[in-house]
Amino acid sequence: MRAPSSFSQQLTPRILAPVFTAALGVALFLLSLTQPAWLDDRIGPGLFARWLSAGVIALSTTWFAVALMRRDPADSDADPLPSRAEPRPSPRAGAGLLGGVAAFALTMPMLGLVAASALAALVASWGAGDRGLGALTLSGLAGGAAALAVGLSLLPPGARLWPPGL
Amino acid sequence: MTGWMGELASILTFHNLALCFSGALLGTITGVLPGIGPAATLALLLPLTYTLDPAGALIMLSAIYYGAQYGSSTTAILLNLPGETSGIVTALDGHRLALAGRAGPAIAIAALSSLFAGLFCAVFIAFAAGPIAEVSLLISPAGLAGMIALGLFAAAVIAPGPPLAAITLILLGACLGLVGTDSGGGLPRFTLGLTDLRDGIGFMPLVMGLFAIAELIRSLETGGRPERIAPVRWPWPTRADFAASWAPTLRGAAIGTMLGVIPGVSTVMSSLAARGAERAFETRDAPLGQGAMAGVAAPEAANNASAQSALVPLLTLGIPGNPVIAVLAGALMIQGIAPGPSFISANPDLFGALIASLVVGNVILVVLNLPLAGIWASLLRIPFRKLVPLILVFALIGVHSVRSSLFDVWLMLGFGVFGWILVRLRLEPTPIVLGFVLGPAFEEYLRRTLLFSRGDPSVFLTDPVSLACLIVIALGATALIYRHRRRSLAQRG
Repeated sequence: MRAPSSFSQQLTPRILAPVFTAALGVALFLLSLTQPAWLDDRIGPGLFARWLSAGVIALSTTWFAVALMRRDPADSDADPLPSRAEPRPSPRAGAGLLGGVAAFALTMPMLGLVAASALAALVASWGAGDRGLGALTLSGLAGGAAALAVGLSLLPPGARLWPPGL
Repeated sequence: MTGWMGELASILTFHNLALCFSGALLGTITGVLPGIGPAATLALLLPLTYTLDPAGALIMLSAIYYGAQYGSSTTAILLNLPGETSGIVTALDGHRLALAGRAGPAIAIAALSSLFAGLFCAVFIAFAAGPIAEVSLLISPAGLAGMIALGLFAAAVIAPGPPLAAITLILLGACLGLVGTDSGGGLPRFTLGLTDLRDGIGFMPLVMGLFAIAELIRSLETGGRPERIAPVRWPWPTRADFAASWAPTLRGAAIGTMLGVIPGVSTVMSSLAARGAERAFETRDAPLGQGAMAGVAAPEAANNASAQSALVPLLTLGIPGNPVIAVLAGALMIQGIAPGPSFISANPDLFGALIASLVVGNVILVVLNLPLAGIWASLLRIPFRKLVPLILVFALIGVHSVRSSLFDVWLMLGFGVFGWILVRLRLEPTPIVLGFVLGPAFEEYLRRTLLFSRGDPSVFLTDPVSLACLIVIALGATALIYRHRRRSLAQRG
């Protein structure tokens, strides 16, 4: 475990985590209110949804209160992931991987599975830290080859491996 | 007994062994690849079995089924990517072992535990299939709701992080499980008006977003995963590993066998129960959650035993307990065989062949998987950033192939962002996935119970199974609070 660098650094996720889950709970609770809890004398779609989302709000509030009351930020009970290193902001890793997924979703209808996978692998490779054109091309080719192997051996015959028209 | 021993001898033909081997190999490959899954594989390969005789078809399809259970543990251990729901539980300790350079022993222990559980379960099915299936039918919806509540409690107990955060995330996951068309009234729920969400959130987009995408970003940002894992000179388990695993394997096999017989109980519930039970025992090597062999052996034994004993209600009562078994039932019907109460008496040779194939198939799987343990483990020696694009491609293909839906890929992206926020807040995604799996099942049985009892909740206290589960939950919670208090007092001095 890395030593806590400052009180505020430790405090922020500790306080923000229950606030985040509480906000999601409130959003889900409001959505559940749009559903009927009962349909005549039967349970409706809203009942369980309300119970669960109300539970999320109640538990998050308790969690928030417990987090505020703890004085020692390094307390292992207050830190959900004490043994893990703290993430450092690195836009490239996130952008590369999320960009790879988006690239696949956007190009799959036009390029087919193999080329879209190759493109996704290339973008992800950039996110993972590859810089040279050779390394990026190799990752793209490996991604395309993997997609081709899976597509030919395991996917149904109708799977769109290639661009329409090929 | 002598019947299926005779069948064991008769199955050892080259033709049947080849079918069993190819089924086990295909199952392992699809299990290793995240996303494809045994149900989809069985459905895809169903036409292959049209030309086979019924026994051959049953042998091959069963081998694919339990081969996939074996394979899913491999990616869970190596990459923290569960190929199947039950792999989530194995990943908790298995991946820690892999990061410590012990992937080979972990995979080997997973295979050996599964082998033992498979053989144990085959003998169990041969002797007790009929009577146990009849008893399991007596469990009421209230009892099943109680058992799932126990599963949710076990999920909260085993989830990483403090219990309060884990329970909150489990409830959040259960909310996500409610997205889609309500099974009771047919009304859309939490769908935000999107037609694509009417069928609910798929398991694959959720798990690939939360585990694959978020975990990869976390690993790249923190360097939390070493660029290279230390080479493993000896990939096989040591004596100490065996000593740490044999008792959990026994307990996991017993728990999985018993729970698998009950229709509606998934393999993940069996894995959860087995790992939850291990908390009552001292681990020999490392604490649970920090790379304990018991955390691999118990859930692996439980999920394999549960996967096999799930055949019992199908063969004896005609009830498919899970989607994979439903595909298997379809395959039998295509062959002109109706699974049900008269299946065993009308087809003793087929039943014997199935039991024999469980024995032979499990042995083949270990023969197949043990030598591969070192090879799979050596994958971790590839620099991590070179693996990232390939993991992403397999995850994308897996998510897209389940329903041929690009919406699922966008959903995966959304859950990737969500998982990344969780990582930033230092929260684990595991409880969300466990709640997602168990929440809707709990709602279903709760709804049925209240329907039968005309809205009277006291049925949960009068039903013996439900009451027993509630007592176990109460005792477990009390024990946990007591242990926590004692530890706090000890720390204070």
